[in-house]
Amino acid sequence: MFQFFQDVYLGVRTFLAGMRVTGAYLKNANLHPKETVTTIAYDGSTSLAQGVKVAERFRGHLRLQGNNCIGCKSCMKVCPIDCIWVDTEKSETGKLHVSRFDVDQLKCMYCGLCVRACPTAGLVMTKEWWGATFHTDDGTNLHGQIKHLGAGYYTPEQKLEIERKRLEAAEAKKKAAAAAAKAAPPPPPPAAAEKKAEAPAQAVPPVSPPASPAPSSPATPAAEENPDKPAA
Amino acid sequence: MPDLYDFLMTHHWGSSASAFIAVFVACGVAVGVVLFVVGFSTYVERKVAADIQRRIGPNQCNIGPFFGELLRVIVRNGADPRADPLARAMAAVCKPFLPPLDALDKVLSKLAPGVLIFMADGLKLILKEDIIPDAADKRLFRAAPYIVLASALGGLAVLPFSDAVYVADFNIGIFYVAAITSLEVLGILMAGWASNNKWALLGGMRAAAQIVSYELPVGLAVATGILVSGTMSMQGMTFDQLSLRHAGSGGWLWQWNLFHPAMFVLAPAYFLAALAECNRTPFDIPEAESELVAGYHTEYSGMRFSLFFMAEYAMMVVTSAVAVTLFLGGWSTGIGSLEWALMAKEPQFDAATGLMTAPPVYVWYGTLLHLLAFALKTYAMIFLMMWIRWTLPRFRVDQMMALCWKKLIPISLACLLCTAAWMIARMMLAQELGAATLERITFWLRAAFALGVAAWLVWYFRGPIAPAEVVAEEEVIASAGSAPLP
Repeated sequence: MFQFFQDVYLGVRTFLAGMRVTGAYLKNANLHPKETVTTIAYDGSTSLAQGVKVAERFRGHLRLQGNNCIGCKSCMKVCPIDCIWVDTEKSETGKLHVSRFDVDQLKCMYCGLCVRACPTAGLVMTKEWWGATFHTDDGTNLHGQIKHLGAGYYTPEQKLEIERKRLEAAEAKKKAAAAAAKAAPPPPPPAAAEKKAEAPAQAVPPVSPPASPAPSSPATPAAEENPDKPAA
Repeated sequence: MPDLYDFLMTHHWGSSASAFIAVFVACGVAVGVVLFVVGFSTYVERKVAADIQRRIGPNQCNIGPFFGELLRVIVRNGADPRADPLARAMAAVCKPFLPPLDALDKVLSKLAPGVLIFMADGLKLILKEDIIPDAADKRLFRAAPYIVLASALGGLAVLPFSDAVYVADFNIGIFYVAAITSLEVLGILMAGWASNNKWALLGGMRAAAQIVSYELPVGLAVATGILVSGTMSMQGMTFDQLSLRHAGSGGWLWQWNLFHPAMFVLAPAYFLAALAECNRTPFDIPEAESELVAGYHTEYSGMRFSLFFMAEYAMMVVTSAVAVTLFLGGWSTGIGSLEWALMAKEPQFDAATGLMTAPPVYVWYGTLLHLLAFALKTYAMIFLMMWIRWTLPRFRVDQMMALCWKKLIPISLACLLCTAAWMIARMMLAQELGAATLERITFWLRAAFALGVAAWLVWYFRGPIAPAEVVAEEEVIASAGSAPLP
């Protein structure tokens, strides 16, 4: 019988204790000894210009600075998501020329590996983070454009066209080499024919965006063996 | 006293159709207002939850970004030189609304940021895909939400919003409320069964057990209230708590039923039982999110689910209003002099017995003030329900049953017996001391009691509390273990 009243008393007492704690929270008081953080409202700022503070090592959008890009494609190779696509071409004077430097900011995960891989500190991460737009192909603030290097930004159709042309050129070269091998006497060093056969194979993988980077990795040791080949 | 029902039935209507229309309009107004309050309550709930949990809650859905932008687009379109007459007409109609809308937005986004979230939620729920399980009992599945909502809203018919604002004043008002709100068990069982889902069925069974069990403490508290007030009519209870014995007396806060000793013990019991009726935490096992997915409304999506949700909040409104009428004096303001000042026509008393023969009639601003008082008190109860939700953890189903049958029902029965005994004792005391002296003694005793309770409440909830006190309170809670529950 006494247990009944003790239970009722405990019920009321503990209920009031709990209500007191949450009641104080309702009045926004600073309370629990273990409590260190509260939720702060995001003020909706979209760039550093609005005075918001970010951390010193904050990793924002990518940007090429200065003329430091040498077209080594290290960033492209190290990117875990393949959101960087670099194309280089040899001009008439033999100088290497970056014709395309695309960064798909929608895919970028801001890991910063490309910045670490860049040997000339040409690729940096800015402190800008606002990328929300109403259309995914709103290109201007999402893709890196290297206008000052004289390069252009290829549309997907242009990329496919260039790839097709390169494939055709590689095929044609292969046919010509095979025809020349048949017509001419068998050339003494079979290594020359192998080198020629390897060259078109190397030309194909780096410029096919839909293909995974796997074909390019076996090609890279071959590229290092033949640094003066025009394809790489 | 003549109410809307009497008016409708005695007035000579041209045709029965206009009578029906009149009734529907009256009920429509009541239901519309309450459903708006229900929607707004979801916003208040989220804000209260956020405050208790030290976060911010919804703060983005303001009037400006939606309706302001819409109006601005219409006005801009109409100002275009190539616009057709319809666009120009729409722009002309919308233009004068822009400045007041901007002003309202400015005020509202400071006072209640993100308040339109309940409309956005409603719109989202309407636009959701209506999924009905293939093997479900389609008719029962479709009908269940409407039964639950109808029973919850049915209680609105007798609520005394003000002295002259009510739909009907049955002479068995409070009995009717208890009866019609118990119909929701049917809807919940239908939902649980028709979903063709074991967990939904379990949730439905648990809900039925819970609601049916907790009808008993509710009924006993209501019975004690009827004993104390002497009438089952809701308006009658309010007038009884006003205690207008002779000119200039009564209407004070401590004369409310809450400060009657037995009712003071029963008020928390009724409140807990009301929480269980609404399936509110800590009694929300039927819809336990972490246990049964969503209990009996697991398979419901979109508007069907929101009907259950609205029914829960509508039950909150109805049970809070009943609690206010039973315990907190209904629409009375609690200040006696103010009550007498607001009367246009004073009540008539029978010379011999001292009973009131004709009720008072209040001036129009008195009626409005009473409406405001009722609304504030009901909302205080709803706020208390929300506060409790974010304080207490959920009960286990056996704990919930034990609480009802082993604690609340014995307490309610004991209080009912004590009240009956006390009424007899009062009669004998009145014969000894004289009615007037007894009145004066009870008046001042109750005033002292009410003052003591108010002072203790203010002291206990005097926040902020120091971290050491928080630890102390948590120790009290921890040392009790799961007591008083098994």
